[in-house]
Amino acid sequence: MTLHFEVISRFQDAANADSLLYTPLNAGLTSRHSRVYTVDIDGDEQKAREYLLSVLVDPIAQIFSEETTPILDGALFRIDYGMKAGALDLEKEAIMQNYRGRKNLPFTINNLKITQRVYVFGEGDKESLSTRFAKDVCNPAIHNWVIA
Amino acid sequence: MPHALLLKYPGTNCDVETERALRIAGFSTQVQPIATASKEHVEKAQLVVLSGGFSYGDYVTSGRLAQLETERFLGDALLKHHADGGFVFGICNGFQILTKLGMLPKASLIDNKSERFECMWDKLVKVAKNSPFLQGLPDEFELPSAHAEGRLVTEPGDAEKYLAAGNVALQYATNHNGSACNIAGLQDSTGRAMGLMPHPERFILPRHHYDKDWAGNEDWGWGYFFFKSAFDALN
Repeated sequence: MTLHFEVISRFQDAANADSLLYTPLNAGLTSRHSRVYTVDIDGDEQKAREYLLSVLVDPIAQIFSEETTPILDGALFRIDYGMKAGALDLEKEAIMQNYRGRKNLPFTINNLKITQRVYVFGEGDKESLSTRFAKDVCNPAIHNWVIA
Repeated sequence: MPHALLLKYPGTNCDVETERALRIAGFSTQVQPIATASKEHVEKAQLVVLSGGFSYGDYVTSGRLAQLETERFLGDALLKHHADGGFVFGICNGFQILTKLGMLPKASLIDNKSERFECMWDKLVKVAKNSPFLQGLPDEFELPSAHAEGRLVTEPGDAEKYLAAGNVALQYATNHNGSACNIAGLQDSTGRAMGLMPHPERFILPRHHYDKDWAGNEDWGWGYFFFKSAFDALN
């Protein structure tokens, strides 16, 4: 089965999206970030969920959603990007190292996929703006990305 | 001679200067990578120190993976050490880890308000005047800070409660990172567990100060007194 968590800061407001670009647009766009964890597991789903929440979510500073729909709405576009297969994902490795070091867990994690999600808010031409942001945010050598 | 155990994680990068500060203050020291740390190491120590750095690359959230690995390798040894009268001191990333371990009042340290790494000297206000880590320090003093995730946040109203209850050890005179109630350092109700974002180990000698004419203390920088104060309390 697949568990899905989108995690976002409870405290951070939308910031100037120009900070994501090499050259500012000065178009009044703002952005927010979240992380999406997609986890394929076997075994005790409830225990897996408890473990993953204890690892992935800071209950004071973050909120999360288990829906597959984005946690924020109203964005002009969003960019979902993650590491290409074969590229070293250090966050994934750090999480999996902790998981592998735990003894006698009543579930197994078969796969963990981490996606960085950038929401961009404001007005403008979605097509050209999203291409511009993806060009500066993502690195084609190591990232796959989807614009929605 | 009091013994200090410094736990080191992948990404810890202030262990050398922190160990040096502990030795200068009089402690015997041991730096132990978490993967080989044991309850016996903790039992031998009167002070356990978690120093600054970027443990596990600050992945997920700063301090989270270090907390999980500490619990995996040491179980409840740190909690027992503290319950038995031992001291625990967390600096910067160590502070972030201590909050996650539940050894300090419930709080979290998140991205600075500026969303940037900030490296500067901070003017600090000593709030917990009886703290065993803060003796010998004036009511206001400065220390270097360097962090991206130093903004202390709590559940609504908790920061004010910590201030009223004496859990706030230090406050920023100028709140550059957006911390609730200007909190720069927290302590537990006993005062034996303390964490702070600024780096006392980087200001051990007067010549470490940015101002070459600094004359706050003839022999030592303000950071020295954190370690000396703990040493005196344990000796």
